[in-house]
Amino acid sequence: MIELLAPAGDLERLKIALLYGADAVYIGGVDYSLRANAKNFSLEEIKEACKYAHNLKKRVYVTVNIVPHNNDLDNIEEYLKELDKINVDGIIVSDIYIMKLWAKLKLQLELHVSTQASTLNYHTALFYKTLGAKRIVLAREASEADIKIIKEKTNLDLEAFIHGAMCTSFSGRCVMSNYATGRDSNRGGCSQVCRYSFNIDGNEKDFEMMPKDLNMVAYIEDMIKVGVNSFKVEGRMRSIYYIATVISVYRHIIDKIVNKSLTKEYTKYCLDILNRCANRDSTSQFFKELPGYNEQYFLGRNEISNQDFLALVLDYDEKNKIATIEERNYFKPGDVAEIMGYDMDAKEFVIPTLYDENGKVIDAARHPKQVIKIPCEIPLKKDYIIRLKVFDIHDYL
Amino acid sequence: MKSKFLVSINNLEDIAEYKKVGITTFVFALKDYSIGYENTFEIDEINKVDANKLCLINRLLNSEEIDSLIKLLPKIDVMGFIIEDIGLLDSIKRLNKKVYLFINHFNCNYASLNTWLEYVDSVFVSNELTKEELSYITSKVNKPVIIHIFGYNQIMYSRRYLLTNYYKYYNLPYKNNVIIKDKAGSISMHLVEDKYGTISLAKNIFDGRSLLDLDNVLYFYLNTSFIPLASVLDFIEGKSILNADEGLLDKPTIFKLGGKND
Repeated sequence: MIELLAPAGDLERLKIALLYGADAVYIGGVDYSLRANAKNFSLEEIKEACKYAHNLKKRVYVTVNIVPHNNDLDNIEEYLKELDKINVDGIIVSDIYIMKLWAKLKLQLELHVSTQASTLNYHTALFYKTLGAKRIVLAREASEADIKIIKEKTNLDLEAFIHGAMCTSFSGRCVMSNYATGRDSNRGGCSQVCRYSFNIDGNEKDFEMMPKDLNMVAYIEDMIKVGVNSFKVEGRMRSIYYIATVISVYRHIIDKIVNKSLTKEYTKYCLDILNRCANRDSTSQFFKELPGYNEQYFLGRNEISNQDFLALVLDYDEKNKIATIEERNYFKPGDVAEIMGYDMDAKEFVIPTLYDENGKVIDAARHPKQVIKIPCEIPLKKDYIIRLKVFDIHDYL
Repeated sequence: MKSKFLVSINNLEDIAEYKKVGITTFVFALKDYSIGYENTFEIDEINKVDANKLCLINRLLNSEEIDSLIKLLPKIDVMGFIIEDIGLLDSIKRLNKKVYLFINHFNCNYASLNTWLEYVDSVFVSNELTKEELSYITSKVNKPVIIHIFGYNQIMYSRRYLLTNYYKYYNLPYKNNVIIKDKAGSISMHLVEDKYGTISLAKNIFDGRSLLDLDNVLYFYLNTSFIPLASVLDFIEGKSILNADEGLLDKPTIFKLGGKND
């Protein structure tokens, strides 16, 4: 089984992730999830998410991965029963009590062990298997060799991160946020102290410990070979553009590996797209060898806001070939853009005359969320994305 | 009370000094399998000590490392093991030795502790709790637990070489066990690196003597790493010590901004 697993901070992101090729999504409930300040899902929304995903024959996992304090467990039993009742496919857990509670309640949903448990060896994985775990989300520090032996010795489903932000520490083994800002990292309040600049022993040069992002585009095939089943993208608080782009890229990569048509040139094209979209440098981190100074940032990073996401397609009038789109970043007639559809390869698209909702010609799209009409010969669908064209696949071939 | 003190050892010569003040049980960090301690010990060194001994293994291990370690465990002459990686659980149980679970920052509630206590002899309770939370936990656990009362609290464990990376990047002379401070000067911490990664420790020594009145405690743990023997002895004798604070004992953490919190 190969699964592309996407993050979703709310229903909009969830739908985009599934449309753009994710086989499953992981989401957080309002409580018990490690992204306490994401929008997160109410039980009603989780129910809707499951219904939507299951209609597409896709899956929904819910993170229940905080390190709970005494008061946090008051309603956990009822919560787990509710998740089971509304047909959540699995829960992602790091706490032993919640794992045992899952077993005691004989829930139908699967038990997945969170990366917060930092599983690096097969003995630990087997311990969780005896508790009923179906899947282990490996420590981000797991190497290719580590993954291979865990798979061989346990035959558990293995889930590994392939893209997104990294912790400086082993996940869960950091409370710098607690000490520095009073915000509990293991209950979702991480203030990312590891991204600060520090003075070290009076040296002129700043000390930094912020890792670059993870990017496994070049190693997906190797990961499949050593037994990874679920390929997880980080980022429940990321934008729909980021999710659509990243998921779409990995969907294409995985599909091309499966049908043996992946080329180095296509991989390079994907890397360029991902690097621009994330706006952060990325590396393969621990997979092939221990990270050195090239795998982390020094001198901070130049953060230039990515403005490639021009518009989201709301509707398409096939008869009149008019698309209704919602603006996200400035564009004007004549700009060379690209249609990114969830069921098509990217197509170049020169921005035509723009009309406002009342049919009046406008010289540019200036206002985020402004609804605009454009003539378009390419048949569009709701939730297609119009982005600035930066890379041309033909330049790579 | 001192018979309940569990003291980590930096130098073997210190043991005699601790025995003089009534300490009977000691922790030895095992060489190559522990991290963040001032000194680690070979198996032979641990075996030669004549005292109640526990062996500390606090690294997260990959399969190759844990398989190698499992072969060594029977050769270690101690009462029990303090472990972070639960992959060691079965192997230690087969040796009929005590197992004390020490997963840093986890085990913050009595229900989770009671679940772990079904598998192990005792559990170290998290350092990041308030006195009120610790008091409630000790009143509800099914077996006595282990409570930190002294030392630099570990606040981060990374597999990365954070100091080596920095000094290499800037081509500066390497230095270990350093203090870093954020630009505003409000955050400081120690960084200690070895060949297995980097540990960050709180800036001040945690002084948890106010916890000594808790019931249901198997051991009160003193992590003496990077602290002079004289200061440890002062603490044991009830004297005040410099550069110490009560950590988070009186500082409940929050995790939802503008929403429900603990």
